[in-house]
Amino acid sequence: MLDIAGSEDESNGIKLSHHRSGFVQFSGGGIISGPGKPGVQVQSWPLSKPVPGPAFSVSILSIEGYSKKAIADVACLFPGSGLTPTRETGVLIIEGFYFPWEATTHTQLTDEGERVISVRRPSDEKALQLKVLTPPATCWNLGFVAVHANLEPINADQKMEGFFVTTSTGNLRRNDADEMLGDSLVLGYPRVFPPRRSIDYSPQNHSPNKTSED
Amino acid sequence: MAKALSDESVLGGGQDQFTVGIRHDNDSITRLFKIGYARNDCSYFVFFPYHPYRGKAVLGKFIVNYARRE
Repeated sequence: MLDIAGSEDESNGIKLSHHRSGFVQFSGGGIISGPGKPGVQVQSWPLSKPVPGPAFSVSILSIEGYSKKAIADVACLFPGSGLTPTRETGVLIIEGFYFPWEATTHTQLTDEGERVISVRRPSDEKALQLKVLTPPATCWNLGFVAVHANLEPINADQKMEGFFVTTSTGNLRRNDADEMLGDSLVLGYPRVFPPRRSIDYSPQNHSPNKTSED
Repeated sequence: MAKALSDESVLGGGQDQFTVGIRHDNDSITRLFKIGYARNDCSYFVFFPYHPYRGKAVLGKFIVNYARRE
């Protein structure tokens, strides 16, 4: 790990954001963020030039304790009968892909009225059907997010708790063996290893973290 | 040449936030997280208001080696 930070945020307010410029960071919840600040961030691909693979991945080890209240806004639902994570069934992985707006030509409406898009995941050539999260009209000229979900088996001795999120990579380079490397960000709950530093905003050490990139 | 179908007749009115969840056999729903589009620059964001692990976040940066990725 290049960096491990901890936050005591009690608001569940930390979010991952991928900006038009390609700036990817975690912000909100009182943590340090913004370009040039000592937050957790990376420069990745701009939204005008997305890559074919996943833009982010959410791995959920258990849904115990999650809210079951009614959904007030638009829902993107997956069937629990095949996708509920448990020690027996595996980890629920929800991957998000980002498509340029031209890809709307490849979307389809299902019989249930859901807009979907089919792709082959570059890493394993697996065919995926993703649910399209149609953006507001003001964003049609940029692109859209689509998501899919699946269960991945886990080791029998793996502890089942929490979730973690990984992001698209940035800072691409090659090592001495000519292997391609990139940096990715991760957010996880609960804390499974001790952080090297706190990322919570402290007025003694940092300026306020509200920036134009928040 | 394929036409870029970016008009309202194709996609309909979109939204700026979506709740991702799972629907159980008894029709109850577990809310997992949210995905949204920012109104100012159309960036996307993912946030997690529903999990039960308040105050226990770990954040970090790690190296991905594409040559050794499974």
